Amino acid sequence: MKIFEIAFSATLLLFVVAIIGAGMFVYNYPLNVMRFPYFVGGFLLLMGLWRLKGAIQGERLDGEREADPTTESVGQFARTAAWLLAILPAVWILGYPAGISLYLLVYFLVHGQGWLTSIILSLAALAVTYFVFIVFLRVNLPLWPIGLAP
Amino acid sequence: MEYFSLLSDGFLRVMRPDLLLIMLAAIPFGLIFGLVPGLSGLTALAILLPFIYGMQPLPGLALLLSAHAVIYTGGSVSAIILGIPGSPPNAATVLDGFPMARQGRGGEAMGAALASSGLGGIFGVLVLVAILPILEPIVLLFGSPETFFLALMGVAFIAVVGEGPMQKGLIAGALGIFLALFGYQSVTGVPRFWLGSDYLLDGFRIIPLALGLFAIPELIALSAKGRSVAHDSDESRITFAQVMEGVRQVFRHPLLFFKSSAIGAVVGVVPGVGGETSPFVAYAAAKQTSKHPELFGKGSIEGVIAPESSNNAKEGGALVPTLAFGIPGSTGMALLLGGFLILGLEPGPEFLKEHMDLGVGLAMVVAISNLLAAAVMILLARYIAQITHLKGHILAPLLLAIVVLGTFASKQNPLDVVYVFIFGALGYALKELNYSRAALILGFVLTNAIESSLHISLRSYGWSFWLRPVSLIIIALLALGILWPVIKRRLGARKGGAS
Repeated sequence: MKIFEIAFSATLLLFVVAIIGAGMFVYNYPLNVMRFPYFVGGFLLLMGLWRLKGAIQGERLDGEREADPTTESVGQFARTAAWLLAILPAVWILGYPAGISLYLLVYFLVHGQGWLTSIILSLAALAVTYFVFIVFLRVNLPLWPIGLAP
Repeated sequence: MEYFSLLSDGFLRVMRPDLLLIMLAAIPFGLIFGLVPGLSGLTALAILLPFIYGMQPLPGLALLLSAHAVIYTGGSVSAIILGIPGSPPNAATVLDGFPMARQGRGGEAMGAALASSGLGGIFGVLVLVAILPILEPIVLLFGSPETFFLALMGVAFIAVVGEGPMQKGLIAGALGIFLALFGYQSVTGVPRFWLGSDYLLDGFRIIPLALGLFAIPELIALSAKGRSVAHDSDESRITFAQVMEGVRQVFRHPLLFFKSSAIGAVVGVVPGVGGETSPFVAYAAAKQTSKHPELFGKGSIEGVIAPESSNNAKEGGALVPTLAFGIPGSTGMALLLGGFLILGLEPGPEFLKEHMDLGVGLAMVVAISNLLAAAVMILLARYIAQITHLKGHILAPLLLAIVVLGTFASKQNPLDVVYVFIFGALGYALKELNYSRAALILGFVLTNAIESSLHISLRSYGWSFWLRPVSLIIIALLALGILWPVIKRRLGARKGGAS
């Protein structure tokens, strides 16, 4: 957890420095555009450096709760996150209705549901996607691969 | 007299069939999200947010507010039958509700919790309705300098008293403000930090941010665990007669009910506080004044009525600063404020003058939602609780599909969906490292108000803008709020030394 804390604080500092730096040296914004970002960025840098120092020294803050990780291991987190992220290429490549239904079907089957449950749930999702979003809410959902729509 | 006609107009506006339908659709949504531990009310609001695009203000806000108003009503059921609070503010209900369920009095605890939740919500609305007409002259004392400091106070308070340590809360609040600086600056119209991306010209959007911060981390948790949250519970002993006995218990303790609801409404008014604070304050007050304090923690019905009355009453109180100053009174209200902005409304001093009817209408929505939710849950609690038996491996991907569809539906931009996952990674890191996600979202939604009021203050009053009397009072409160943990620690150390 300590390394994760250090990495988060360092990334936050880098992000703030990069954005403020871009405003100053790349975009050359005038002071009335940068005044507030200087104020907020300066505060974030100070607090971020303070936190980074505390994280490196292993300092425990008031009100810090006992670590209760969401996943049991990095491997389990990676697998879970990958499964959730897989919906992105599915909808990008197959379009929304087909991509979502196929994603759900594969997800349910791989995670131990029977064929019947998986097929019923993914068909129900297809019906909801079509009737609620396309027919009722009139959302212009991509029906084809994004970028290749006719 | 004029205000009474405004009230009756507000009531009639809400009693439209289409609005009632919207409320009826939103209430089960809020109840279910409140019921399933880990899904929290903020996830429900974040998921509903994209659906209000293109709606009229009252129906759009009614959708969000109805779901939000009843979340803790649903949460009380899982607190009692599973011993796991559906939402963090239901934690105090576990203390006596769960022991009651273990003694075979789960139905009685549930009836008391549901009735006090529903009636407490109506009490909170009555407070709101009583305060609204008095607020207008007070609000007029607030110019841009006061708005600036009040908005800062809102972010600072939620950072200090919210989840996690104060230092991390302040970092999260400032990060929320920083993320809102991307895109066109409202004062000059200059596109700031757009990094050559057309998407960033309009800045980061509230919907991908809210869903990423609040929905994705919970979906990871749900998916990683895989099993249902209610795998070892037993709600078979709950009968309707027991539930009705619990409802009657609330009417046998009227003083306790009014005192706890009043505590909830008052704590709810303080910007950024409310949340988990008010139920525990009400619980402690009930224990102090009870004839049987020794029963608290062992299955006292008073220990269920007190936190649940204050829980829903605080939402009426929390609407006061949200509508009058544009400063959310609770975390849920911060997301609701996002809903106001999506609908093109900016709560604050001008809002009350121009849209008092809408304010009254929203109060009515909260009252009706509370009544309907309590009635539905009293009748169907035992069956609705079955949702907690759904496996995480089924619930997580289905909710993810709704998140993806809802995000796309809001602006019909596929990049929004990508940003949900980017902010999801941020939300996961914040959750694991104990940073306040509520402070971040509050900072994000208040940035426009903070920056514009700072700009106007500097132009109108120069750098001495903070010397106005009301500003000085708010600065003093802000300093006290930030320094309070330090003062409390010093006082505690001195007391310890003396003893």
